[in-house]
Amino acid sequence: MQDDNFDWIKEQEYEYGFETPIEVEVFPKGINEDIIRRLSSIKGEPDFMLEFRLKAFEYWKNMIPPTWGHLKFDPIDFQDISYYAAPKKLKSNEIDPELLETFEKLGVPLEEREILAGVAVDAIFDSVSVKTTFREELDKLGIIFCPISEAIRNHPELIKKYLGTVVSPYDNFYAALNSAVFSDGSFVYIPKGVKCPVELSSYFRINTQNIGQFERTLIIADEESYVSYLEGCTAPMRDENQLHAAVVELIALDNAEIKYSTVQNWYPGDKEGKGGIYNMVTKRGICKGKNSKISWTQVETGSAITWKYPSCILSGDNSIGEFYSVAVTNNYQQADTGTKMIHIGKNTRSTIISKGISAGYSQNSYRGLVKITKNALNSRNYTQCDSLLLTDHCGAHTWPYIDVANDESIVEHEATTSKISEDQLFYCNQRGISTEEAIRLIVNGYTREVISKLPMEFAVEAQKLLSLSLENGIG
Amino acid sequence: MKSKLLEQIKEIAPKLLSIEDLWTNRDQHYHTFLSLGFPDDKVEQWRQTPINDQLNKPLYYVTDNSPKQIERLDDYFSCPIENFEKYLFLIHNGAPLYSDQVIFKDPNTGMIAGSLRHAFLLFPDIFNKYFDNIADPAYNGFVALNMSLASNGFFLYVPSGVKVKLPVQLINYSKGDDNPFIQSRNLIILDDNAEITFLQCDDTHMSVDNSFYNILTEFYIGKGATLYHYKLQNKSNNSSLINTMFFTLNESSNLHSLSLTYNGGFIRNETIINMDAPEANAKIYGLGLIDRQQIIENLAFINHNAKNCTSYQTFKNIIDEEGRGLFNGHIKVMPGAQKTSAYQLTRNILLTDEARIFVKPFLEIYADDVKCSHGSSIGKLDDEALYYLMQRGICEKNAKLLLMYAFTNDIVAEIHISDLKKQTIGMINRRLKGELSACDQCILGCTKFEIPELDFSDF
Repeated sequence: MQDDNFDWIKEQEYEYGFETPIEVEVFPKGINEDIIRRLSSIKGEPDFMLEFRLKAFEYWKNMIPPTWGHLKFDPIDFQDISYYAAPKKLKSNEIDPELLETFEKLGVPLEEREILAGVAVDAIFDSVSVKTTFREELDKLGIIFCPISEAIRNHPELIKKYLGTVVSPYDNFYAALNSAVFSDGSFVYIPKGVKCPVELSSYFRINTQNIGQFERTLIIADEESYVSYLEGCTAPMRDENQLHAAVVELIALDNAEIKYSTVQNWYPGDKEGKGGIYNMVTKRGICKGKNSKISWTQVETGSAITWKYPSCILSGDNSIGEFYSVAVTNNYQQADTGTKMIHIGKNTRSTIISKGISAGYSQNSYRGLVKITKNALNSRNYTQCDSLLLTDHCGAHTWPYIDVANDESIVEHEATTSKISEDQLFYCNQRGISTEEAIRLIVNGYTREVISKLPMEFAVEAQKLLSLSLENGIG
Repeated sequence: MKSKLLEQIKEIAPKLLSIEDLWTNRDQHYHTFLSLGFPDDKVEQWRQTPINDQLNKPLYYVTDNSPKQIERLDDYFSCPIENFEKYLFLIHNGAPLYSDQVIFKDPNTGMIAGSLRHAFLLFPDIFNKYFDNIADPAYNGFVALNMSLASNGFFLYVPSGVKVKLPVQLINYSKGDDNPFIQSRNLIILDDNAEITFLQCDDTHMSVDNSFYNILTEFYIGKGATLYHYKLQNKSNNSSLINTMFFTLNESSNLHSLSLTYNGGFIRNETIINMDAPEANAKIYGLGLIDRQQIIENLAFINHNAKNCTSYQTFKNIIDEEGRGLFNGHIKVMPGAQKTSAYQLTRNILLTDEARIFVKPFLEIYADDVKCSHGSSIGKLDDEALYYLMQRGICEKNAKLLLMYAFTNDIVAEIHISDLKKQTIGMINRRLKGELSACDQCILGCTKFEIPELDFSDF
């Protein structure tokens, strides 16, 4: 009975798997100092940036890829990847209509319609940012929202002050690699007291074959400010694996709030587990100021391999960290994802809600650390991580680490793993709801706590994505 | 210094490996040890464990494990639980002590108990069937070292269908001031449908400077058999203990294991349970009362390899002063182990801001028709509960005691020997009050046991 119910899961198609035929400038494969120098000069970067990259590269050369994740894949040949690809016509400051069409197809508005959507978008195609919308409106408020390459040229003082302060270039293997070769990404600065009126968003698209995408995002929320930032991503269907190693740094100063939402839908590989994106991402935010807040929400449905732990360092007193996650794996996907909450300031609070759904032959792990340091008096953490298993070949794992070093804090952790019970299905069937519909209903209810944390536009998108990942042809 | 111990071991090994009338495979395990070495903080499971500090103490490998005869076991060491009738066995610095027979066979039930080495010589049929088949030498360096060089320990065999009424108590004791590094190996076999209660006590004499005990116990629980296993640990503050237990559970067998750690410099209990046949049940409980600079670690790995098995774990710690606690639970449900129920719970109270706890409650699940959950909490005593009690005229000290008492209660409630339960209640009470002082034999002074003034046993 089990397999009959879920056969249709395996038949879903990846909607965004098309490739845009466009002329691109691609670096030869491989990584060395010359590649980094060339990349830096194309971007017109100041010297301090080149130095930053070279130092990271020097360090990276002696590092080994981490193997502690509950992931199985062949080692990546880092000399077999091209580290830069850019659409050619971009140089003339015009956007290729082909590109516009691509983003249109992906549902990302780059033209006038954007005003109706009410979302400012930074679209990143392979290694470069294509267009950032809504710029003028944001300028009036003093908000800086631009590609990071532009910020390096125009706001070097902010970059110098903040880049690499949350995720050091020596933090881990993939962060070091990213620091050496990152090509673009988004930069956001919200000035004191400004509440950003629109959702800021970046859309990442890998198009060219054999390239790795290394983007870097830096968001700074100055005192008393607020920003909500969204991130989406897709890639064409290919038989080879492609690497995506991003670094995201968030900095929240006194009383500031950053809300970071991700809907990750990289190509997950085919039914046999061939191809797909290796998503090795380091995301970390620091609540530097008192009463600051960082909230991560993620819906992970894509990627062949996901290695991602959006974390919060709660160093300001009374600061708050949140992590809401839904991770869906199907076929041969593998996800090892979770969070770290490092409590340093007094009265800091964190909440972790993680929902895993595994189907097919996939492996889905939650890995998290809650660390309460000695001085983080009166801190509070609540963690809940649930797993839902849909077939008997898949796996669901929970690896929480809890480290508490003072007596005034309270840490709670709960986790359950189970399948959709036959009673629940029977109950729905009995009331005339088909099994397929019943599963959708139950999965919806199961993930609701997380989906409800997403901004409205994204919530609808995410709901749709979840249905797509798990269903067959429900329109 | 650690390499000094290693050097000693390398020096002694050829002599120990050449003992003739001893079990085979030791050479092979010794090579496993050499390739593994002692674990260090580079190994995931030992990351939070300051094992090097323990191994760096001056230690001298004790090679003489041959049984010694004494007149009366009770005189040598007694840890009296009032009205507690039992079969008593003693191991002193790794060597079994006996007054009458080095290995004892009960004529009525056929139960065999005594020196492991003599079991190998006298009961080879039973011995060889189980020995070396339960523990995994590749598990870590300590297990491999024990399997290669330990030459004695305790053996217990309960024949098929026999229900032994009296509990068997084994006391592992170290005495003397020569900084011993001791290895001891035990084999406990319950044949089909057998039942027994087994108490394993770890004690050290006050005078011991440093001691390091590396104990490996293999348990085989046959079809339909039931083992009640208790572990009572009161060790001195400068003793170290690595206690690794491998359990093999057969069809419809039951394991009820409870460990009480009152005191100990460094104690690491590792429980590995393999449920290889359907319908097996395991319940594991642990309670640690940690203070001063003690380090108490409890690790439980439960492998659900067959369907319809259940496992429950509850581990609690109260950590005072500069104590450090660690709990690592790991439930692994293999493909095909459908209808598994596995629960894991750990609760911890920290009493000072120097106290520290690491908790790693893992679930690794490869089958879908399962119910698995884990819960963990770390915190302080509930302010509101304290307030409630104080409002009713109970002073702060007693209110705190009462709450800590209540906290330990659900572990104590799982003790099925009423005398032991009563004694445990008293011990916990005194331990929490900080009244336990040294007596000449054991650091807990339980011989001076009295019914405490605040008796919450009826709660």
